[in-house]
Amino acid sequence: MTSSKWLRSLLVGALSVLASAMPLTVSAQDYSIGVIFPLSGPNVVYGETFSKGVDLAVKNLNESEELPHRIKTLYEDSRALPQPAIIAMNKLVNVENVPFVISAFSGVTKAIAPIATRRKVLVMNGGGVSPELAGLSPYLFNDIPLVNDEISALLPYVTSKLHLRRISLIYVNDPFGQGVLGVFSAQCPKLGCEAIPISISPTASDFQAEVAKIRSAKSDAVFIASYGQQQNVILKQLRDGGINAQLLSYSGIDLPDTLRLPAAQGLIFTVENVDLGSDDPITKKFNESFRAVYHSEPSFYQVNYYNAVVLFAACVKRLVAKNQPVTGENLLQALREIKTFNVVGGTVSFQPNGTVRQAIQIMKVVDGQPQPLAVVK
Amino acid sequence: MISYLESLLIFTALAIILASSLNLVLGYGGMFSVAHAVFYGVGAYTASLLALHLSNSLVLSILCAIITGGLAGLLLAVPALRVKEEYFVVASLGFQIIASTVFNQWDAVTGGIGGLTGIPPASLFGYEIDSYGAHLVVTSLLAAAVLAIVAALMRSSFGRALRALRDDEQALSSLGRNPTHLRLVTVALSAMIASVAGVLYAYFTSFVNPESFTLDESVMMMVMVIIGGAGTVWGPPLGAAFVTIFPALLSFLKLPSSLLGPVQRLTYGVIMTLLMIYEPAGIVGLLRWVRRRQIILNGINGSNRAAA
Amino acid sequence: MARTAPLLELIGLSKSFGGVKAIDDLSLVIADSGVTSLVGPNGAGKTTLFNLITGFLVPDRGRIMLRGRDITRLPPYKVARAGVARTFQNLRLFPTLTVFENVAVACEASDITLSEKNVSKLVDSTLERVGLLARRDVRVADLSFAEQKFVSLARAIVRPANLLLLDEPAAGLDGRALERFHQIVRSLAAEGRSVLLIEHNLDTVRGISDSVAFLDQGRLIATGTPGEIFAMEELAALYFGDDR
Repeated sequence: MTSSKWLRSLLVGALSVLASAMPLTVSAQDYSIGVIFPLSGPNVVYGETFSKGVDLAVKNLNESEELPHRIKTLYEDSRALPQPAIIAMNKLVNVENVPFVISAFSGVTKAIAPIATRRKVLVMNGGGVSPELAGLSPYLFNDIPLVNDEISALLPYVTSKLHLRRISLIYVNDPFGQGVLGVFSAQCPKLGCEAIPISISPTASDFQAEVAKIRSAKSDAVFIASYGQQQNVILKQLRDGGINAQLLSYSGIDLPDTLRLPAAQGLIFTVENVDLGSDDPITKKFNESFRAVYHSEPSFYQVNYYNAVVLFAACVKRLVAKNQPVTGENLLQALREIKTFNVVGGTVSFQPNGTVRQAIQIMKVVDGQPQPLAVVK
Repeated sequence: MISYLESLLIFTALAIILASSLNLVLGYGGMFSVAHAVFYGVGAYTASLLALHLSNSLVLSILCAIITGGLAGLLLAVPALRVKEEYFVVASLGFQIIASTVFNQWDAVTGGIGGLTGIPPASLFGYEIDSYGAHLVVTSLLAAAVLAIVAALMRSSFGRALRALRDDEQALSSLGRNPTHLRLVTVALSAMIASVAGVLYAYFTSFVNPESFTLDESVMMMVMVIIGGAGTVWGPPLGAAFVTIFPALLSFLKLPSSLLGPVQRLTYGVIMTLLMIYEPAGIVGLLRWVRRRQIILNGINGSNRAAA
Repeated sequence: MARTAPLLELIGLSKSFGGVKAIDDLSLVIADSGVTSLVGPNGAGKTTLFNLITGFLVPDRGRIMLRGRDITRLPPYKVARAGVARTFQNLRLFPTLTVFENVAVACEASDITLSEKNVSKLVDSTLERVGLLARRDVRVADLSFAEQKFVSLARAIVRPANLLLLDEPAAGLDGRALERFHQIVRSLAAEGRSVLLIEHNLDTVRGISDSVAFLDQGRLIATGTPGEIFAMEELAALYFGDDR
């Protein structure tokens, strides 16, 4: 009777699931925060990377005993998809009653934003860069610069200091690329420059036609808005095609292998002004503990997610001082009042639309190494 | 807690509508379609665009979505059914890929990868459907209506012909029935129902983007139909409930984040595989078996008592 | 014109499968009513001829005229709607449907407009005619072979078709079932329908046929009354081999 055996094992399985579903003792004293990351599916690698930042920050803060109670993370799997994210968010908010949720991915963050507004829960996104995230909910904050901010810093510099006027813009036709195009269209008229937009598909790998267009446009500069391996291909084909105009790009191109390409020589690009060499205690603690725990160099995202927890802790500290309960509403109030936060790599503040205001550094590639040109506050 | 359960049940009701509608094509029509998420998406985008630009009336949204969804169904079925039936799955795969590309790239209409945000709540007879409770009532009523429609349809002459088609297409055509026409109607009808689920989804989440209407989603709907029991009225809704609720139950397992995802997916996968190996007729088959067993056991108990 | 044209006229039909001629330049006229038996050795092309007439196969050459209308390239469902009904040698019933449903499906094509109630009446009277009314709500998969043969017959005769093509309808029947079958076929002919059947049992052929057409290797060898055909020595040799 294999069927009856298997039915019995199913029942046992279901019972054990139900048993473990009984609320496990989350001490009422703990500060519970929700984390909605892809923990399975094709984007699981992001979830793993991001959670290292979150986990380390929680560990450090709990050990430091800066807060009267411990921080406890409650992870939920979004699979980087809207529907599982909505279920996860509802569980965190309505079952676990968390006041604060850390999210990743633009689609997921957009899907949970209405719930954040409705239930007055603070959401901190450290991964999605879609421009539409700005101002989506009064409770949504992005502690990652949306790509707009980098371009807004770069354009005034290259037009006034380097006198580049005709700028060809190769952009991937997706929300990110369109965001870049949007900033160019909005800012160029004011700055006296002219943008020549050339859209490409995210999967394109041959750019002969685009190179020909750039050549005939006689541009002073070419801005590359792409990511990953495609950037390298574009760089090479531009140089092979005899384009000698100044090349420009953003933080996505800041990969050691890309910068070492001969074609990348002289490239000017922007990065978030995160100074991991800074001497402040938060940055030092981050650097030391990250290497001690993970035996590797932290990535830009891990800094963001570490900082997400640091921001939460700073808000909690203020509420404790004022003897107020840690609710989403109060956290929002505290965040607005504190204004400027000391985090890993310097200080951050938030714009009224919820996105981080961070200094941007302009870099130039010299001998395969990025050299700072200027810092734009 | 209540809101969480409500949200879970809303998604379950949506899954029931989707699985029941796919069941028409897959379970009764015998056509393997991996493009059902397209119709779900068409309904969702139709409602979103209407709500953002014209009207948030639920009735109007559903009517429009039925039209656009039905047209999308014909768009798949008319060319796909010209070729042999065996190629339908391939044609539907192509259709899903093309539709995903359109959802992703037609920025002016779909908002591209970024999708459409800020969809206002739907209104129905002057009431705004805003709370989870209201959404749950509307979605459940529509899911019940869909189940009733599918059940009635299958008892009708149309359902009879559809089941005959699945059994023997050539024999059916020798009786003066046009198999292509039957399939066309089935796909269009099924697409219309799926697009209604899309409308409800859009108003509930107030955000749509292409990630919710991918090939993966289509395959998931197929899984619901098959593990529930294809070609039965109650199987697909049971499968839909299982696929939606079971992972949510698993998420209550307290596990470290690095294990949570893999353990949940693995448990889920193993249970589904076991189910398919030991009960290919799906959950409905399993329930029938339990019921038979119970009747036998009752019989034995009854006779024991009589003997004592 | 429709009045004067014969019910079915096959004109120079040919069909080959990979170089083998299954039907070879065959011409035949089927009368408005009566029973015609197609006989001939195995592989003579009898079932192929049925498949050509009903649109399941398209001939390489030749034409098929139904009451003067060319139906050569029509798909099977249109041939059926033009007034041709058939059974299959291997029955091809719908096993998951009940007896009633199997027959009902046949009278709900768009060429027949009956209300649900009238469908039910028509199906029930047809089931009574073939002696299956008592088994009305049984799934056909649960029926005996003889019962299944009568379902397939009911499915064909329930349609308003003037031409009935029955592929070995009596094979496997015996005793009372065979008797009932004879009765039904004769009554169909009496209603003014034309029945074309493939049959191996020569007693059956003799008993119910008005005329016989003899096929061999895809060619029409002879036509005539049963008496005439069975009197031809050379046909018997073809049919039974030389050992007789």
